Amino acid sequence: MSYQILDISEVDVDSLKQELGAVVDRIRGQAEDGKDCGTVEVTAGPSCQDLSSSKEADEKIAGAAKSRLDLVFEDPEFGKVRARVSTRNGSIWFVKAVPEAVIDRVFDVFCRVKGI
Amino acid sequence: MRVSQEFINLLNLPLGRLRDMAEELDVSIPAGARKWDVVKELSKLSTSKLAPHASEWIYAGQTSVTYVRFGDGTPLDEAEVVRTLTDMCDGINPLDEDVRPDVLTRKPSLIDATKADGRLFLSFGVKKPVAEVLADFEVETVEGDAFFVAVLRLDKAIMEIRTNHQRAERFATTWIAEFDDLLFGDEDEEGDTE
Repeated sequence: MSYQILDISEVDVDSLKQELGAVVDRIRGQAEDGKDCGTVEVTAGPSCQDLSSSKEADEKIAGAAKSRLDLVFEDPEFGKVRARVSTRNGSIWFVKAVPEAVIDRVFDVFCRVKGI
Repeated sequence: MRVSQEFINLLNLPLGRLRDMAEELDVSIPAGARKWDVVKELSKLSTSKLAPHASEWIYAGQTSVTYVRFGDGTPLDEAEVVRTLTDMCDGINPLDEDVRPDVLTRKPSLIDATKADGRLFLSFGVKKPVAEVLADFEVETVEGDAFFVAVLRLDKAIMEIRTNHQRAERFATTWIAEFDDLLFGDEDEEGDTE
């Protein structure tokens, strides 16, 4: 087999965020075995600009793998875009309809991040 | 009667964009019309009329993407790719001719292919269960057609599968596995003998 589904790690998501100029406004954490809570999800409150720099969010999902993060960014042509990145599946879901140019831009950034 | 490929492509557009298109193209749409009704009216127009208004949306929209890379990322040769696709379509070049099968199954089938900007836009059809109903007092599963797009970016040897991840994984282990085997099969065999 010479093909592979490309994974998206937490580090990749952080780089995607930086390159897209995005903020994180929702994080789903998947706790490891043995914990009482399996899934922990946090969303940004009205006064929070970016959950990725929130100490409170870090504390709430401490010890859990970030399995899904919403990156919200402005596309100069199209406007606000919400991309739900799954580190578990290695997929990016455009939550609201976007044109081809936005998917292209995210693909270009993804390639830079992965060094391909 | 079978619907046109334009009809299928237009279903991928958000309703707001379809309404805007109808207005731009002077197509009269009753207030409160469903997406289905708007698509029916718009699909009566020629592809050349629709293209300038829809090209940015036809293969995009609200979608999930999963990336699959072939080999080590060496650019794919377009002629070889087209030859492989043609082999998979019983000798019919999907870029030139209609390759729709008579029936869709749970395994994705290539139904249309177009080329633009160094990429191949491959449309696939698949049968999916949409509801369970009672028919003559027995439970029956109703199946419908579902469609998705995979964009083959030749320069990066990456296929961008635009559908939910579950279907993308199934697609990878079925159609892509076959495509990969046909495209690189000889190279793998050579490697095995060394």
